[in-house]
Amino acid sequence: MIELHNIEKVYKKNDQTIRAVDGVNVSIDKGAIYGVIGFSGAGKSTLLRCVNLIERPTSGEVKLDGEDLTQLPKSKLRKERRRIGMIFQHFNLLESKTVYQNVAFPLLLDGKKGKQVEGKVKELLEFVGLADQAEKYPEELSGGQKQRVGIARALVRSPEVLLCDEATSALDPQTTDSILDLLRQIREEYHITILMITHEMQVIREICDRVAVMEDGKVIEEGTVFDIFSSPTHQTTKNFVSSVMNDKIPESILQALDSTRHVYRVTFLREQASEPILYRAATQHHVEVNVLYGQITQLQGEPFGSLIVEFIGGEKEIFKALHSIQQSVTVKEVTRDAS
Amino acid sequence: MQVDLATFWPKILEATQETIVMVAIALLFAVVIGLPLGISLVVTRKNGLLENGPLFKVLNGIVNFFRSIPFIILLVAILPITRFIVGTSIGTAAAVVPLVFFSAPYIARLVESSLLEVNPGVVEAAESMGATPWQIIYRVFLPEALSSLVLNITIATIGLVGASAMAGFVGGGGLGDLAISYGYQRFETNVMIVTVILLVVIVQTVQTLGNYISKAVRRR
Ligand SMILES: Nc1ncnc2c1ncn2[C@@H]1O[C@H](COP(=O)(O)OP(=O)(O)OP(=O)(O)O)[C@@H](O)[C@H]1O
Ligand SMILES: [Mg+2]
Repeated sequence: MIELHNIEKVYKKNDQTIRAVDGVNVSIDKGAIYGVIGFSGAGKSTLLRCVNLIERPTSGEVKLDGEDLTQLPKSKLRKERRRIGMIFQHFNLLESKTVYQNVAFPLLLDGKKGKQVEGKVKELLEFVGLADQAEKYPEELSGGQKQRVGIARALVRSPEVLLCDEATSALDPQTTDSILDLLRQIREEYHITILMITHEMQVIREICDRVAVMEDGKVIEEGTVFDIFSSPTHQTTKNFVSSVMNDKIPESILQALDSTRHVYRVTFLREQASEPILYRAATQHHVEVNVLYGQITQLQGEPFGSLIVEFIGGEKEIFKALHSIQQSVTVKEVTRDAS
Repeated sequence: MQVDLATFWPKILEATQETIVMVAIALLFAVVIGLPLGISLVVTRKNGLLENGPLFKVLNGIVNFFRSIPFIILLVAILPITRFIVGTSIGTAAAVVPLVFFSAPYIARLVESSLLEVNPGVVEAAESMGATPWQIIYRVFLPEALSSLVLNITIATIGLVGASAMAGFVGGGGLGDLAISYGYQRFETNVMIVTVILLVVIVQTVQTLGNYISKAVRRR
């Protein structure tokens, strides 16, 4: 369990003050994958670095299982850091060490040697799929492989928390998927709490349980991934959501709209998506329903989607049909200048 | 002008040996002083591992001070210190002292620049693992910078070979001394030529060796 209370980080440059993190409160359950998303400069990295106190917050508390890390003396803090693994956008591997030595590095710092180290390192190299690359040097590896080394290194001390700073941002989409798969597997096999920051909404959709949206150092929206994706309230959040949900109506459809047509956006959540709501309303009220555009996808294993549909028939019948649909799903009229 | 070959070669040989010994000993002490100094410059600077503004300013000032004195002046200026340390102000041992004063601050700067090349992300990664500052210096900075350190110390060694030739002025012995006392003062051109060739050979050898070692340690 990680609790961040009123985290603030202020940088003073000359006579300018930058509030990189401005009063953030977040609490992350054990075993959860928690995402923080925001544009460049929102303060995500700074916030993440405050969790293991690589960056000391100007004020606020960082509680790990109830213990405030900001109150610990340096030597105690170093010990606590063993419970928190970290991976980085640019991997940050030791170039002068082999894959094996990189993964063993945290254990070396602990003064561990011999069989114990070897067993653990091999287990993790196996887990990340790099058992046959142990003697290679980082510069001989691809980006995805380097991140796997980074992950193995972060896990070698069996931490309870894994911090990920843009862990997939330097990778291509396919490699990103494989790393996300690996993170999912980590949660399942090692029951680690994962805090990850990203500017890619797709990453959040793929693996997070909860998400916080950051802007100008503040959390502007927070909730389960399902709630944030299905009903974002803040404009920034909406932009992030539409960046992956592909729910913008194509221009060609908007152009063809006029006041005589009845076009609506119907949004389905969870079990609603599996019921023939539209079909039922159409037959009951004698109107035709024509799907112009849309998609239904899965969010955290639950169906979610929105359809742009046109109702064809008499005004009265359409009104009735809409009324009955509205009992179970969200319906919004689509006009030419709206989305 | 004719040279007596029977005394010529032994003299050259002895001078070469003196140069090598002088450079080696000076290098050893200069590294022993310059390496920690260079490390200190890196860790005490702003946002360093052990940030310490006043200490950084003092160390930085000392290094700049010695770096700005031409060797030939340094040689004479620190004669009292030389006499205090080695008990004499002439001879090979006496030449080593100003060479160390000359080279240590230079090495400190070179070490500083090598260590600053180390990816700060890797240092941060080590910090996130709970490494102590000493562990970060010993296990991250030095191994990651080793190849570059070797190249830079090679440069410093070549600088020392050049400076050691000037040590001839305090009768420090070595090839420089030989070139001055025979080649220059007695117009024995042959001695001059041979000395210069030998200095060139030494410098080439040092550079080649440095390049080789630097490459060899790149992956260790
Ligand atoms: N060491 C520092 N000194 C001064 N300002 C800083 C420092 N680190 C970060 N900042 C400022 O704090 C703000 C937040 O930076 P941060 O790196 O946390 O953003 P981010 O959300 O991670 O962005 P990105 O997606 O580009 O990584 C930025 O305005 C940045 O310029
Ligand atoms: Mg960042």
